[in-house]
Amino acid sequence: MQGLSLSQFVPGESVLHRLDPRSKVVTVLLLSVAVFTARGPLELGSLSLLCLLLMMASGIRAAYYWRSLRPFLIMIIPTALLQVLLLPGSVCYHWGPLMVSEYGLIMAGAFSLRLIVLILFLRLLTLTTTPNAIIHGCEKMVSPLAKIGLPVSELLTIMNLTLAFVPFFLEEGQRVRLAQTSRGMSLREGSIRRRLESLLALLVPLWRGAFERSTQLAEAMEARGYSAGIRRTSLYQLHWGMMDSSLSLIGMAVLLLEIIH
Amino acid sequence: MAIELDKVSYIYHINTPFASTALHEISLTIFEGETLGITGDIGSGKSTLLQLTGGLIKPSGGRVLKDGRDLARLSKRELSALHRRVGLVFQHPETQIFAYQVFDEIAFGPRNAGLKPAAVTERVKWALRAVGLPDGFQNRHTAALSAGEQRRVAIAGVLASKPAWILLDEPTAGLDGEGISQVMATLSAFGQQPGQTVVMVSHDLRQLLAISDRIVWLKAGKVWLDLRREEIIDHYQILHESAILPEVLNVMHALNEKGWQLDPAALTPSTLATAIAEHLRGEKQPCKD
Repeated sequence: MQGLSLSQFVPGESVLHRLDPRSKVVTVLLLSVAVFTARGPLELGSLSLLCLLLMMASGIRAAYYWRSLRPFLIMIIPTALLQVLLLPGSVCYHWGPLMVSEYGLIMAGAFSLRLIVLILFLRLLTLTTTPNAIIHGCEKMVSPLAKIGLPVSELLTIMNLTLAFVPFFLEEGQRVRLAQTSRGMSLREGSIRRRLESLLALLVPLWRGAFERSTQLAEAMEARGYSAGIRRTSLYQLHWGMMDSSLSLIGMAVLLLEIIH
Repeated sequence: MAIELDKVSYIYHINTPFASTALHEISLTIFEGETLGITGDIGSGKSTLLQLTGGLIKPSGGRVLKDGRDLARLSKRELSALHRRVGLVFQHPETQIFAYQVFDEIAFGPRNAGLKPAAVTERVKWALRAVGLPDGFQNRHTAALSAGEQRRVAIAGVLASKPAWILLDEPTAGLDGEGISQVMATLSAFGQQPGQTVVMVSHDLRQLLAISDRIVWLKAGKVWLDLRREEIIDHYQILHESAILPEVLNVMHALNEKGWQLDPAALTPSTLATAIAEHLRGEKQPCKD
């Protein structure tokens, strides 16, 4: 149940939703590097503008971006404050012992903006792409490695299944916890022995459930013809179109311009 | 202790594109000592209602009151005290078994309550009897039990804490005929203890008729009908139109149509048979005179 909130995907019909996951992954990687290497206000400013444009193109309400940004503010705001107050330089304001330097302000602003834009770029990917599509895209991109003997497809199947198990674990964990709580389980009170038993009461059913589930899943997969090491095709074919090429080119151009600059 | 749901709504994945309403402004009071059955189609909100009642999930709208106090305003300590008074049997409770030996599994609750070893042993034996398992069963290994036995051990594990309220979600799901009748016999006996409140969710009306003082029908997240046992047969028509009914109700309705006045609470095969027999005896008397 709560597993859904783990994947931040928001269904939609925008250009960004329809793009090939590969181009999105590549572009986000390129742009992230660009954000990290950006130095001047012009570079950071244009990256922020690009980010804003893409956010608008995604057709997703600003509230979703805000929500994903919020937890990071706990880290960003205090760090920025420290930079403003502690970095030396020509003083522009001061209240008693507190001094604000121009340099501090610029550094704090650049730092915060850099992080915020980076987080938003990553969110753009996860908000417009399902986790499965991201994995599928990654699979396609690394599949050439299979030629040198890496079990790419198997590894990605494992990743996929692991993702699929996360919601199960959350839900089952919640259920077991509630059930054992109603039998007086407490991890905080009682003797060490009692607490250990409580821990067992929580972990044993969870493990057992996970093993049972995975055995069932393995049998179901085998029954439907799954076997490791054979070549597989996908039900959903990825389509690399003009838009994908353009987006990746924009990403590359941005990064190149920055390096040259 | 009564639990009152006051215009309670519950929305899964609230504030996300996946939001779906499970319950819509439900108002319902569950009284201490009653055996309440909750039924409805899949997706009608039965399980959600049960979890709200036990204070396990917080409503998206409205209030859940226990003795007039809003559960949302209870402190953590008070809430966990409430959880301890409420015994929970989730669907497929046997997945919660963790101990190697049946004794330790059932003793978990009583031990946590701080009972002395002798009292714990007593409680385990009592709980095993309550679910119809023979003495000596406490020495068995949990992994070596059949599905029905596991289910009953799991229920015994909940009963052993002697919760004032016991909430069960489809307790007979996946059991065979014998398993079902044993679990139902357990619940029936348990519900008759004075002061014991039992709330059972089931899609099987026959099982609910066997034990309930009152049955609530949910439809699309709302209370469709809320009937005391003896009121059910009066609503035969409307029930009949919406579902296939247990034969007991069909027979009683057919006899009522013939002008028989049967005890409206006789909604199990055996009590109905008794009611019919009494009626026949009553009819014969005037003939003799």
